[in-house]
Amino acid sequence: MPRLILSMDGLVLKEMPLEKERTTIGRKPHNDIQIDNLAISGEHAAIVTILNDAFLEDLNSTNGTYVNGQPVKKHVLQNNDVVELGKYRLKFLAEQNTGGSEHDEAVSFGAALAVDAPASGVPPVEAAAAAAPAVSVVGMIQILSGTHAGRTLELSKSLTTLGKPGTQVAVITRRPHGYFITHVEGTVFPVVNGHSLDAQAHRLNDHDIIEIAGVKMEFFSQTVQN
Amino acid sequence: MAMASHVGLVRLRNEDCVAFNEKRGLAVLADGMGGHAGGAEASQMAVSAWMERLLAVDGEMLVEDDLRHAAHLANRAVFMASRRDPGLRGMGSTLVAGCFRADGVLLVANVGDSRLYRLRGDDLECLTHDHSVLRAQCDAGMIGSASEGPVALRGLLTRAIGVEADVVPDVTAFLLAPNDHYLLCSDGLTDMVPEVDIAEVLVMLGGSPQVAAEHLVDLAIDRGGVDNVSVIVVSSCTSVRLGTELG
Repeated sequence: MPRLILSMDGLVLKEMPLEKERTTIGRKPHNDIQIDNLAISGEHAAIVTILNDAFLEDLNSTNGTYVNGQPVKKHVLQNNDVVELGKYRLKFLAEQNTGGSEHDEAVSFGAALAVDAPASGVPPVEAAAAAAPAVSVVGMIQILSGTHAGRTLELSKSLTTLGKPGTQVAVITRRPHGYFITHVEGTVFPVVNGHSLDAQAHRLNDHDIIEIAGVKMEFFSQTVQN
Repeated sequence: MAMASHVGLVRLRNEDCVAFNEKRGLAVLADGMGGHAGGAEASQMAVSAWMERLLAVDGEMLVEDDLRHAAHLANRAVFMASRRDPGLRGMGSTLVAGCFRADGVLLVANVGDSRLYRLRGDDLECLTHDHSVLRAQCDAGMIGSASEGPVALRGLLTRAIGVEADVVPDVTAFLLAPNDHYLLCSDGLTDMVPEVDIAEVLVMLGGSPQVAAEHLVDLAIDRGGVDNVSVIVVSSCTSVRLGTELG
């Protein structure tokens, strides 16, 4: 049965199994988990549990509900997720025998990750592709103008720099959630679809037209067989 | 010089602290420990005590003893605070710092397992020696490499700022070369990103420290980001380039 471990300032206050289908958390006494603190709303959040799956919902609380540091409205709880309400933390444990107390969280997080994470050195993009069907999506650049017009370039590495060193250079980075272009050097910034970028990384969409150091190119993604 | 720091995906607080002073060529990074409020407190105290001591030296070139003294003061600040406040008991911090002197000498100081790397050409070299249990076991030939040891021992330090009444930092001097790139980082980076990938980023982006710093942090986050990730990238051509751009 999934469990919650309630703690504040690192002190474990109590441990609660998620027995009911709907467990409510709030300041008022009728809640299943009552936290008598002014930072907690009367009805702050609820967790709906179906077998081993648990869904957290913030009930429009004043100070919000956070999971692993991110504010959430609705969230599917994963093993070891840390729900934060005010100064209180609720650690969600999916299984009974996950061992380890709140105090050695760094170690248990580390151990959990060692099992789940791809071996170091394998970029997550490829690891995900290996687990998924034998196709993956790879970004491509086709040069549209200049002496290399017509040439294509596969963006298979995590970093690809484009442009002329000393004049203008941009980098395209491959991340699990897409490709991003960032200005690296030069007084002129890359132009995407006619708009000059600022210093922030810009996410590339299919068929974006990029202009760097006077050369036009098109970004597109391609599905490749592994 | 540029820095970037991220809380990571798992931890709730950023217990790392970074600071630099480009004009004086100082960069320092600390990775706090001790859970709760203590870790963040310890790394901030260590960094501010360190910077305060070195910035107070005016007009003279910093020497190795200045760094030792700064480490001593940082240690004392953290140690005394953890003695005073029971809520902070047991806190401590790593510290790695570079002092890029105008005469082309780099002084490096470290305590704990945060590192300073140098990229020269295509070669990435770690200029610091971790003060960690795994590193010590590795040196003693008990394990093949520090990454092979048991996960439970990861992050266990043999030396830290603020845990005992005094601490001895490793202080070493190196010669700077044009086009060198330097990286100070917490173990949140090196646990997630293999050195070959760090080298690639510095080779391609080292000339733009800000872009490089952000990209290194992104890489660590994309690969799990279990711990706080902090980096400072220093490019020894930055000052030269700035000079020519302004001139």
